Order: sequence, then structure tokens, then C-alpha cells
Amino acid sequence: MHSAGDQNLFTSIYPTLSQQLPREPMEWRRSYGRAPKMIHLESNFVQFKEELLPKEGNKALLTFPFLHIYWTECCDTEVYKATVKDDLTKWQNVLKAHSSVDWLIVVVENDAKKKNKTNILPRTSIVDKIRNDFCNKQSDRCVVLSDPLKDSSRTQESWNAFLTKLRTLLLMSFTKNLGKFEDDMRTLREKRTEPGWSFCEYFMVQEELAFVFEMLQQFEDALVQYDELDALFSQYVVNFGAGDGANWLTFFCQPVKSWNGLVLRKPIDMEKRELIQRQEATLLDLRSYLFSRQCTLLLFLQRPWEVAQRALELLHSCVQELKLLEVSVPPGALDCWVFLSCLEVLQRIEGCCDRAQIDSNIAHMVGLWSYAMEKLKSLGYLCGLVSEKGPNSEDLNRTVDLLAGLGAERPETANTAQSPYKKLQEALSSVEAFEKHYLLIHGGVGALSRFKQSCSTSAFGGNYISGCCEVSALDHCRIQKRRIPVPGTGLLFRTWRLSSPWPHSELNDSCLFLLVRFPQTLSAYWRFKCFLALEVMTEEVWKVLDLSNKQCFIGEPKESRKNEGWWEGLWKDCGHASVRWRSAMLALVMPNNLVFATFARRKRSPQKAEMYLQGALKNYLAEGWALPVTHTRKQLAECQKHLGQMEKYPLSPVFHEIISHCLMYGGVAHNECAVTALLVLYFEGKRGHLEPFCPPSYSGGPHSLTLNFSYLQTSSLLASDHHLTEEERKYFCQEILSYASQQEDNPGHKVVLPMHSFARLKDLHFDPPNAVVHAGGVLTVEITVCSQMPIPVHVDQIAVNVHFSIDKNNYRKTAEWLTKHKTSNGIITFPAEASQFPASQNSLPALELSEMLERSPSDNSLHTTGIICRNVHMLLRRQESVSSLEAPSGLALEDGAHVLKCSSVTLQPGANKIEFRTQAKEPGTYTLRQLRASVGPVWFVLAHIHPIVQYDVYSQEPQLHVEPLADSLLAGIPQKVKFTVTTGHYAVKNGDSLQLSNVEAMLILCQAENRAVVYSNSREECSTALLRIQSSDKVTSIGLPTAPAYHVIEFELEVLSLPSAPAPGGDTSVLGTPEPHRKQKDMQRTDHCMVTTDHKVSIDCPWSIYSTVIALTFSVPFRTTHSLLSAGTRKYVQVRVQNLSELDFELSDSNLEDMGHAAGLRLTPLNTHSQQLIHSKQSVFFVWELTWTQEPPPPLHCRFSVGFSPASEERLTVSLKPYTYEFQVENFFTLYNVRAEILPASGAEYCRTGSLCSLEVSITRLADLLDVDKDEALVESEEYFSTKLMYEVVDNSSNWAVCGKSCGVISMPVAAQATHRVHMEVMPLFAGYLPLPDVRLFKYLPHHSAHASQLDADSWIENDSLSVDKHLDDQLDCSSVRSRGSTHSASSSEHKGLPMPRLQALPAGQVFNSSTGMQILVIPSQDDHVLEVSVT
Amino acid sequence: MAVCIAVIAKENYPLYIRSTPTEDELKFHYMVHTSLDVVDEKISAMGKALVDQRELYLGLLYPTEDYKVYGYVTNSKVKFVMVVDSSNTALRDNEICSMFRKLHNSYTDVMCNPFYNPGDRIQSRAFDNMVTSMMIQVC
Repeated sequence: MHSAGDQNLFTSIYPTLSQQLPREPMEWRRSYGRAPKMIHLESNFVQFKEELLPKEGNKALLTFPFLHIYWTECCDTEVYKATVKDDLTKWQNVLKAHSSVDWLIVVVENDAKKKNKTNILPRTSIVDKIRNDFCNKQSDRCVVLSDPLKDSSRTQESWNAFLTKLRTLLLMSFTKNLGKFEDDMRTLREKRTEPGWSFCEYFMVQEELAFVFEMLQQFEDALVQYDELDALFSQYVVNFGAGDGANWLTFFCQPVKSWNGLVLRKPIDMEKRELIQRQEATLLDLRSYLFSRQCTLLLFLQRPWEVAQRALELLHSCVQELKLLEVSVPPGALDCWVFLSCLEVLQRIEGCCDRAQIDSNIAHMVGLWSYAMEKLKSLGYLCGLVSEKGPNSEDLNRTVDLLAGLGAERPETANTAQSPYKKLQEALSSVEAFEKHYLLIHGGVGALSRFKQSCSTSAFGGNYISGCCEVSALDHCRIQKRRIPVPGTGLLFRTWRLSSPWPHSELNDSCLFLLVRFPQTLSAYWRFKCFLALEVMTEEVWKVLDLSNKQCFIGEPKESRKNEGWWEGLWKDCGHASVRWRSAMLALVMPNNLVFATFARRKRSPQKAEMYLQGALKNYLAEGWALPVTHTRKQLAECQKHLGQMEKYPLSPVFHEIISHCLMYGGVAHNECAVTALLVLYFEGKRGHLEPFCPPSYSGGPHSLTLNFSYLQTSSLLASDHHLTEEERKYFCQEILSYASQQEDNPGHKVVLPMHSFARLKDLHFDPPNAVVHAGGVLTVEITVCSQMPIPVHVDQIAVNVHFSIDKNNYRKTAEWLTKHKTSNGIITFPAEASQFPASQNSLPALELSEMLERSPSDNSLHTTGIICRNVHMLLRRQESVSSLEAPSGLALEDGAHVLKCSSVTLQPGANKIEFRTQAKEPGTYTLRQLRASVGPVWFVLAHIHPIVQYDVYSQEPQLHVEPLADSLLAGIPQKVKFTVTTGHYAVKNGDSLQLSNVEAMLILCQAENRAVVYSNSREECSTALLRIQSSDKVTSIGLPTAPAYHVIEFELEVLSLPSAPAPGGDTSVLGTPEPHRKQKDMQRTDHCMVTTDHKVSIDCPWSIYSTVIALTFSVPFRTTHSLLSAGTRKYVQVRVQNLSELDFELSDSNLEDMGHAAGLRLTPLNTHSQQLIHSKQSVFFVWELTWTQEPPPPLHCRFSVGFSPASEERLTVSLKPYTYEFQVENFFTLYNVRAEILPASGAEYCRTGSLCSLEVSITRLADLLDVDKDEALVESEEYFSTKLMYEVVDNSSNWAVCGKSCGVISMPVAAQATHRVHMEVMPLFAGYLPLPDVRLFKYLPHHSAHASQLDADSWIENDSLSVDKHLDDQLDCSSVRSRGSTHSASSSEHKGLPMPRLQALPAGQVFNSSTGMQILVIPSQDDHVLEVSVT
Repeated sequence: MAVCIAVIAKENYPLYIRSTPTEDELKFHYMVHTSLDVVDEKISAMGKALVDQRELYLGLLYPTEDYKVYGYVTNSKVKFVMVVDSSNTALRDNEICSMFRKLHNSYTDVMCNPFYNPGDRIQSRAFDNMVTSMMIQVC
């Protein structure tokens, strides 16, 4: 502020003023819509000098006087007029000349002075005068300050008013000037395309603005100014790179000569600022200055981490910009600059932050640390500080140059011991110092990242848990939506009610969920189904696919978690680890060759390096990054190799055991701890801890087995790693081999390594293919092993450990069962291990999904549908925290009695076939368990062969099988039967024979050429031999050919079952007997079945003391039925032979013979051909006439016999027995003759339709009383016999209408020629030759019980309710013919005990209807048939 | 244009990673792997509430001296990482963004193939061609 006027007065007021002014904040309204701010004004007062007034075009804002104040304490008009007014006018004119309108006149009133001068004018007059004279319209430009130095309320008041006024005016002026300045600045900026424009000038102008803001405590705004400058400069550089060069920029392209890093300790680096002002700054200078300002402002703003973040960006972009501008930089200069800058930034941040802040913003610092480390490393290489020999002279020269470029240390850091400058200088001074500093920095990174590593596991956990929460969240949402209670965990997807047959939206939901949530484990079928279901949606589907999981996964997690307390707990435990553990890990892993080199040289703790590497490796493996894994492993191998080499003392066996135990069961995590712990113990000379366990005499091998173990393991993994070059792989392979060869002098110790890195089991092939072998047999197992090694490896031995178990359920493991059920082709293919994938992907089981459709019970319509996941408990199970993939879990050599071995094999790279041969010993199941290959003491072990591979050994009892060659054996003709002898464990010796006990009805036909064939177990023909068959009366002996154990002997025998052995043939006659109707169907069903005969043959086998009984079933090819035909009193016997077999036969020499040899009975054949062909499924009939001379003829006992032979074949060697059939014929003598006659109505010549005719039936008895009549129907009264008969007229064809009674009971005298006539009226219904109606005759048997006879039988009949079995007529034809042994009679149709008379049909032979077949002419009645034809 | 393009599964293992053959592949593997840190950080920093409206494009993950690493995360937490040469200053943010969108579309196509087993390495030729085109485009 510019103060003029009374300087003494001002000096007296000044302290109060400068103290009071900034006390109250003012609202600062700003142009361009920027938000108003409250600011505290702090001002500087200077005495008025004319030369201080800004001239036109002045850009300085800081030194600019904003407000001009004229101070006066004049209270005297005289004085005012004399001096003050003139002074004021002069002041005003000067201001006007500089077009400054910001002024203020302060009139200070002093009571003390007032009292001194009593004659003064009223106070106001002076002020009014001034106002009148100077402030013509701005009366507020004149202020009164009363008694400023007193402490009274009035003073206070006046001060306040004054200050407010002052502030307002000051601010007004400031705003106005600032606006003007900004406008000017913008104008200047717009000119930047003009040729003469200079960035440095502009920089100064804008920085002025920044300073002002900074002064006003508006750091944010100040920062914006610098950021704008930064961006502008960057843009220029970028444009320059694009070819749009600005003149001024070439200045920044001058070679870099100084690289002393950022300076952040001073608020303003005036040195650099001057350089810029003088336009002499280099790019690095400019950048350094700019950043130091930004850093200062950021620190003011309490954002130190942003400094770190920006610093990294700045350093990167600087390096880029230098490249872009093609600035020449001495080698290493940039490294120095970056290194120094990094450390400077880090120190600056650490200097102004507390521990908690650093911890929470560690992410940015790791970047800086590692960048610094990287740079230091490259400096180390550049200056020869990492090579084994130390720096050479050239390196030293370079170092000196670099140090020169650093210049002198800056004064502000000169006193601190740890300044970056000192660090760098020291680090470059010697190899040792370099190592020290490198390790220090590395330690810094390590310290930061160890903190992270502890978080990294929880990050894993967090990931997993969040996944689970997603599932449960979704589940929960869905349940809530559907309002279906959770029925346990079995259902992953709840059911939903169906409004339409297939609810698309729901289905899609689920499908999408499935696809997204379980992408790997969803089977192809379900995936396809989901895709199909999704088809109904539009093209949006695939966008939705990504969006859907958002809905699914995010869907109110809070709400759902509220209900999922369990998950919530886990969630909380894990927290959200958001640390850059990967970066930290990389920082550890990448430069490790260097770290390691130093470690190794110092012979200090290389296990630390190993530990880092192991940790990193674990993480890379878990996330499935193949290349990093390979790289890390390579370093690990190197590390482990050195660890192994530096071993000096033999390890005690206990020690070895402890370590190997840890390695085997602990996984990497434990392993590294254990090894480290033990090593520390060991190396620090505290062997005493272990000594008690060691036997004193023990002297171990020269090497540490354990450490070699890890080295070998890593080597084998690397040798099989396809990401490495061939040479590298060969090297690692050679490492293993050379280790193996070294250890030859040290037998007994073994190094067990996992197989999967060495070789992969591809497939396995059994011979015999079904992997079943009999005891003593030879089994071949051929495995294909894919060697992963790059060079051929000679393997001492490859062995498969076999587990033997006697199967408990032995009954299933019979030879037959095994051979039938093991149908595989003998090749088992092992799936390729997907070891490259992280565990999380593979461990999930496949979803077992199935559709669920429920139909409503009432109308069977679909009402619920859903998808059920059956193994949801598996899916939602908490996975074990990352199990180590490298862990050689439980790799121990199994010892077992059963081992398949193959020695001295050279495994070529790629597929190798190895064959194991073994002779099966004990029967049982053998499971292949462990595959191992040994190279010297190194054993590669595949702990479990999966899928399970088994072979079975069985022992079999000898067995004999007899079975017909054809489907069924036919009786009567020679048939072939196959004998199969399975020898099992019994070897058939010469002279062994089968003894068959003969059966009478079955012959064993001995043919000359009977051969037996011997087959091996695998059905290959071994030999054939003639069969020696010797028959005696009772025994047929078949000599077996010699055959070794587990072979099969097969031969065929012809047997002949004699067809009509007395007993069995009789069964056929059943078919001829009348049967009740209800059995008709059964009969028809059996119609085509052949009658069978069983023959039991007992066979004595040489291997057993028991005889084997074999039943052979023969079928009779024919079925024979007979019937009696009669014509009047002449009788014929018909025999029907039906061929049931598939063969054609030739029948010859048919003969019917009376077995009773009754005198006077003769059978006259009416058959013409002696030989007849009977085709398959056809019948042949034979007829004989039966004549007799003696009356009445006795029952006839007949035997039918016919010779037969298969029609197709040529002459048979054996004469075949004829086929016989025996039957009985009785009651064939005719007793009654029935004759019916129809006469036209009297007077008519012909019967006419519709007119009644008379039917006369006459029944005549032909014989006197015979034996057959003696039954219940016979009524005897006074030596006069009569029998009751019932007649019935039935017209089945409805030609006739019987009028009146159609049936009646008559009493028939039993005497020859007794005749009974019956008249009836019938009416023909049709015209033409009509057959007469049937007349049937029954024997009428009264009910034998007493009360039954009381009933009037006739009434029964006349009531027409006589329960005559109407079907009887069906049986009548044959009912008179009764076969031998038949006990069945028609009377069985008795009705449920009702007192009813019974009817018995007369046997067909006893009644002859002489009018059968007669016809009578009926002419139509003479009707006038009118044909009406109407014509219109 | 891009020197390395990687697709990384939700579980952080690489589904697809390809870099310009002229340069050290391992370096890019490490770079991409390390950038996952920043991806994790950015995702978790956004907080649950914002995830709904979140932009899939994550922007610059981290710059190194020679390269710039950009990230993009689908809603199913599949990450796309693209490494671009730092000297290639002509490349703007929205161009990178559109490249990512293209990549995402192509990835979606791969996922649409019912014969592709989600979670397997991507071996689609179409996808490969697309990546190739993005890697060559400007260079």
C-alpha cells in the first residue's frame, strides 16, 4: 500500500494497522464465475514515491501498490488551506497521471490536539472540506479515524469502520488489478505462436500470479498456475516431437551439463529462477524449478503423497522429453539425476509426514524406491561396480565425470549426513560402498514390500471371499424376490412359478448367472443350453453378459450380507487389501541377480534371497504367469546352487530329516521358514542344538542333500520349461545328471523329486487288453512316457509300484465276470496336467445340473420349472487357502513287494514306450500306484497314477460246458452238441477222458472224424486232435487231447434222442381231449410249442471226483392229433401230423395198428402215398377206415407210427426210429340216427318264404341196450328200458324261424329200430336252397340228488332258462372220441350246485344225422312288388 | 501402436498376452502383472456404490520410463491391459479407450463361442487378428 501525507502520523498508527488488518477475513468475489473465497488481507505499507507508481506495461504484480492512502491529522482549517490541500492536490494529480483510481484519504482526529486548539472549527468541517474538494462523487474515499491510539469504545468503533473500509477498498483495487493482470497474461499467452515469444518471459509473468495467490494463501490457485505452465511446456515438447518446433524451445535443447537433482528443501530456488529469468535454464533446470514449486505448494496443501506420485511422473516424462528433444546427455547423467531426485523426494516426504501417513500411501513410495534402485543398479553397471573385478580405469573416468556433473553439494543439505548427494557420491566411490547403498535401498523396498506381502495373502482371500459373497448375495436376492424359503443348500437356483411355459427372463437370469459365475466348470451341455436360452434375447445379450454379473454380483451386497453372518465374518477378517504387492514383488525379483551376487560374495544370508524368490514364485504360480515363473525359477536355481555350494559341513541325518520333512509336508511357506531357521541355527555355530540327535559316528555325504534337493527340483522344473531356450534347458538337465553321477560313490541316499517336471505319463497299454490275466500268465504293461527333458536321459530303472489286494467280493471276480466286464481296449490315457493354471480355476468341481419340471397333479400342466445344482455344497465350500503348487507333498518312495521294473532305459525327448512284463502270481487285484524313475540317486516319483489303473489276476477252476449247436435240439434226429472244457488251472494230461453215463433214450453217435480243438485263453487256436470215443453199454468215454492250463478244448458230439419213448409221447394226446372253453386260449398258445424231453447226462471229469450232471432238452418236432369221422355206420380214423420245427421232413411208412388186436376189427388205410414230404409248420393227414364184424365193437386202442427223416439231408448213417402216437377210440358205434325233413305246407308244392312249413324229426335207435347206455339217463321199468334224450333244433344261420318249442325231452326206448318223431313248425326266412336246421341230441341226465328230481325238468326247459352251455356244440365233434388217459368229461360244465338236470352231449360217433347237408328249395312268396315311378 | 496387449482373467491369470516380438517378452509379462496392482487399487478405491456407474476404462495405470500402461476392466472383472510406448505421444486417451472397446467387443465374441471354454487361454484367430491390427496400426 502506498501511503502519502503525514508520515509521522502513519508511523504511529502503522503497528496497530498492520496488526488489525489481516484479522478479519473478507469475502473475495472473483471474475469468470470462480467461487468466492474468504481471504485474510495482509499488506505492506510503503511511503509514497512517485517512481513506485506502475508505468504502462509493467507486469510486476507483487511490487504493485494497490491502494494509495493519504494520511492527515489536520484539524485546522488554516493549516488545511495552507498546506494539506495543496499536498493533496499534488498527490491526486500524480495518481491521475498514472490513471490510478484506488486511493483513500484518512483524517485522523486527535482529541488531545483538539483540546490544545480551542478555536477550531467543528470537526466535520475539515472532513467536509476534503470531501468537497477531492471526492466529488466518492464521498466514501474519505474516512475519519478518531483517537487511534486510545483505548476507548469510540476509538474501537472508528477503527472497525476504518478497517472495513480499508479492506473493501484494498480488495476492490486488488481484484481490479489482478483481473487486469490476468487479462494481460492471457493476451501474452495468445501470442505464443508469434516468433518472438519466449516461454521464460511468460513463465515469469504467470509465476507472478502464482506468487500473489501464494501470498494470499490460495495455494490451490497457485498450484494451478504452475500446473498450467507445466502443461504448456509439455505440450510444446510434444509438439516439438511432432515436428512443430518453437524457436525458444531450441534453447532448452542445449546439452545437459549438470544433473544435481531436484531441490525441494527451499521454498523458492532463486538460483534456478534466475536462470530461467535470464533464459539460461536447461530443461532439467526448468523442470526442477517447476517441480520444486509444485512440491512446496503441495506440501502446503498437506498432500505429500501427491508429491511422490507426481515425482514419478515427472521423472519419467523428463527422461522422455530429453529423448524427444534429442538433448545430448552424458551416459549415467540421467541416472544420477533420477536417483538423486528420487531420494530427495522420498526424504522430503518422510521429513514432513508421520509414520501412519507413509504407511497408508506406501504405494507411491514403492515406485520411487524401486526407480531409485533401478537407477542405482544401472549406475553400478555403468561404473563397473558390480563386476567381479571392480571398476577399471575407463569406469573410473566415467565415475569422475558423473561426480563432476553433480557439482558441489548444496549448502542446505551439507550438514545432513544422509543427503542424497552424499549417498550417491559414496555409492559411486567404491564397490563396497556401492553394495552397501544398494542393499540399503533394496532393504528399503523390501521393508515396504514385506508389509505388503503380509497383505497379499489376504488379498487372495479377499478375492475368494468376495466371490462367495457374490454367490450368496445372488442367492439371497433371488430368494427374497421369489419369497420361497431356502430349502437347505441343495438348491442353488430356486424354483419359480410359471406364468408362461418357459419363463424367459428368469431363465436368462439363471443362464447368465451360470455362465458368468461358473464359466470353467459348466459342462458343455449346459453351456450350450444356456446359450440357446439366451438366444431369445436380442443382440443385447452379450452386453448383458457383462452387465448381468453386475446385477447379479452387486445386487444389494450389504443387505444380503446382513443375513449371511458367516460370510460377513470372513469378509471382515480379510479386509480390503489394496496394496501393490505385485510391484513390490517385482522390485524384489527383478534385480535379484544383483542382490544375489552381492549376497553370495559376502557369504552372508543367501537364504534371504531365496526366501524372497520363493515368495514371489509362489505368487506367480498362484496367478498362473508362466514367464515370470520361469524367470523367477531361474534365479532361484542360481541361488539354490550357491546355497548348496557354500555348504561346508556335512549335515547330520537328523538335520537332514527335519529339513526334508519340512520340505515334504510343509509346502513352500513352511519350508522356507524351516530351512531358514535351521540354517541360521546351523551356520551360527549352534550345532549343539542338533548334536544330541546325531549319532556321533555319523559322517554324512559331502553335500547338503536338502539344499541340493531344492536345487535339483528347480532344475528339473526348468529343464522341462518350454519358455526357456534349448541351451538353458540343456544346462539345467545336465546339472541334474552331473549331480546324479557325482553321487555314485555314495550309495544309499536318495533324492526324491516329483515326476511331473521330468516326464509325463501319457498312456498305458495292457496286453492282454482287458488287463485280466490268469495266475501264472504273463501280463505286459506298456507305458508311454513323454520325457520333458531336452536331451536323452539314461534312466537306471523305471519302476511301477503295485498295490496288491485280494478282492473281498471275490464272487464277482470270476474269470467270466472279468472277461466280460472289462471291455476296455487296454489303453488308458492320462489327462495332461494343467499345472500352469492357478489352483482356483481347477479345483472347482463341475456343476452337476439337472432340469426340474413339476407338473400339477390335477391337470398335469407344467407349473414349476427350475435348474437344480446337485453339488452346490462342493462349489460353495471354502477353499483351502492357497495350497502350494510347488510343494512336493508326501513324496516318499513307497515300498512294496510288487514292483514292475524296467532297467536301463534311455528316455529320448518326447514320447517313449516302456514295456513291463510280469508273471501273474497270486489272484487278486493289482493297482498301479507309483511310477518312479531313477537316475543315480535321483528319483523322479509320480506319487499317484490317476485315473486308477488296475489289472486283475484270477485263478479258475476247470469247467465243462455242454450246449447245443442249434437253438434247440430236436428229438429223433441226430443233433450236434458242443462240449467246451475250460481247463482253468488244470492241465489236461494225456489219457484224461470224460466219462459220460449213457441214458437209454439218448444215443451218442460216434463219428469217425471227430476233432477237438484246443484254444488258448485269448481264443487263439492252438491245436486240433482226433477225439477218441469209446462206448460201452453204460459209459461213453471221450479221451481229451492234452492241453495246458488256462486253455479251452472244444469238440462236438452228435446225440440222438429217441423220439417216442413210451411215456412222453402220451402227453400230446391232451390236445385231443375236449376242454372247457375257457382253456381254449391256453391251448392255442401252446399250439406252436414243441413238446420237450429232458435227458440228464452225468459226466465224470478227470479233475473232479464229483460228476457233472448236464440236462439236455430235446423238442419233439411233431404234434399229432386224431379224430373219428363217421358216415352212417361207417367209421374212419383220421390222424393229423403237424410239423412244428423249422425243418422239412420226409414221412414214410405210415401205419395205424390196433393195439388191442380185437378180432373182427380192421383198419384199412386210405392213404395212397407211402412217402410224403412235410414242410415246416405244415400238417399231413392220414385216414383209415374202421370196419368191424362183431357188434358192438370194443373200444379201439391204436398206435400210429410213421417213419421220418430230415428231408434235406442225404442218407443218414443211423437208422431212425419211427415216430409213434398212441390213442384210443371208443363209443364209435352209431346208436341213433336223426333225420329231419321239411315239408311244405299242405297243398303247396314248395316251401315259400314267410309261410309255415312242417319240420319232422325222426330219431331212430339203431341198437339194443349196450354197455354205453348204462348211465343215469337210463330208466328201467319192468324190463323196459328207456333213456331220456333231449333234442334241440337250432338254426345258426338264421334261415329258419322255429315256431313254437324248439327243443324237448323225449323218452327213448332202448330198443333197435325204436323211432321217435317230433313235429315242429318252421318258417323259411329266405328264398333259395336252404340247408335244414340242425337237430341236436343230448343225453338228459336228471340231477341225481333226491330233491332235485322233484323239480319238473320240463318246466325248466320250457322256461327256456335251461342253462345249456351253448358252446357245447363246439366240442361235440370230438367229444365222443376220448383219448387214453382222458378223464375229462363234458359233465364238468355243471352249474354251481343248482338242482338242475344235466345235459350230456352224445359222442359224435353215436349219433348220425342223416339229413346233414340236405337242402330244400324255398321259393319267394308271391308278393306284388310295386315299383312306383313318378314322372313330372 | 500398442506394444503389448493382455487379457487377464478375474483370478488374475493371463487369458491372453501378446507383445511385439522384437522385444523382451518377459519384461512385458512382469509389467502387465505389476499393473494388476493398480487395477486392484483403482477398483477397490472406487467403492461399492460407484461400481454401478463406473467407467470400464481405468485410464493410465502407471507410466514407466519407456512405456505407459493402460487398463480396462469389464464388469465380470476381466482385465484388459495395454502397454504403449511412451514416446508415442500422439496417442490420446480417447483413442486408447476406443481401442479397449474394440478389444472388449472382440473378447465378447470369443466368449459367445459355445466351444470356447471360459477360463481357457484364448486361441481364437479372430481375436488374434484384432490384436495384431491394434499392435500394427500406427507403428
